[in-house]
Amino acid sequence: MRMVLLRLGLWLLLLLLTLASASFAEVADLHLFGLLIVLLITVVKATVISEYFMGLAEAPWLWRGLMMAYVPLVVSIIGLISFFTQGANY
Amino acid sequence: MQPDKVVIANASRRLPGDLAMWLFIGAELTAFALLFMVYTTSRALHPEVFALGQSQLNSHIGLLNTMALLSSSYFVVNAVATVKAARKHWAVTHLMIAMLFGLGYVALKSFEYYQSVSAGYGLTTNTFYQYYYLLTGFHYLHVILGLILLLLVTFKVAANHYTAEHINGLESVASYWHMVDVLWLVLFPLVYLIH
Repeated sequence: MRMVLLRLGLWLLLLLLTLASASFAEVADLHLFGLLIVLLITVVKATVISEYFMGLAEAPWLWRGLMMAYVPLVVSIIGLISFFTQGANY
Repeated sequence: MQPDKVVIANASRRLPGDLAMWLFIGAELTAFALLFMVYTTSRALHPEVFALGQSQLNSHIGLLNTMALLSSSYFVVNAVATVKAARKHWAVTHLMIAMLFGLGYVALKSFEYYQSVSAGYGLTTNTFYQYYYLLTGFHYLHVILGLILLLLVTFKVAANHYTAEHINGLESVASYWHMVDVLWLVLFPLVYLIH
């Protein structure tokens, strides 16, 4: 029962975070802050999926580490390129 | 130490599903990472073209599609848990709901493509649409493959093929489906939100 509630809670959290990131992206005056929040929310959501939905929280460290590193790495590169190439807008 | 905080020894750690599926997932993630970088770099080189293209997309459909895939993933993880708890009937129900959400994604994305093409924005319109169709189209094909795999494992669950001890096939397909979800979680802000 506890795991059922945990999964339900995580699903609702993921939906709320998705709505939050879409809302932040529409705030015109918060370009840099909005970008950081949207990217951070993406990392949190992907971590929840990999740890609890994929079940990697109990997987060997190599696979768990690779999956946990993937989204933060990709999102960081996207964020850095976006920031440095469109910096004037932020 | 509380029982739920006991550190799992590495020897008792287990990769859900088959190793072959995880190698495939690794290859897919690498391919998409390269596509994400190419898209981001291209946007940096053509900021006006991408800004205009992104403003023409329907972000509400993107949002609904994100929620559809997240919900589908939730029902897939429930299906795996119910098979482990030997409740086959519920597992089939969860998998069918997961597929409905997946089909909802396909329907919405198809409608979005139809809208764009009807408005005259095709693969050759400009650099933005070239990468937009390449990136989202590649992901769209992965969703369709995932739905076919989910349908196959649903039949197997219904036929009592899986048990708590023999569940690698179902876990492999579930892991693939979650990977498709994770990729969309990066794709959604990249294409729809970050301008």
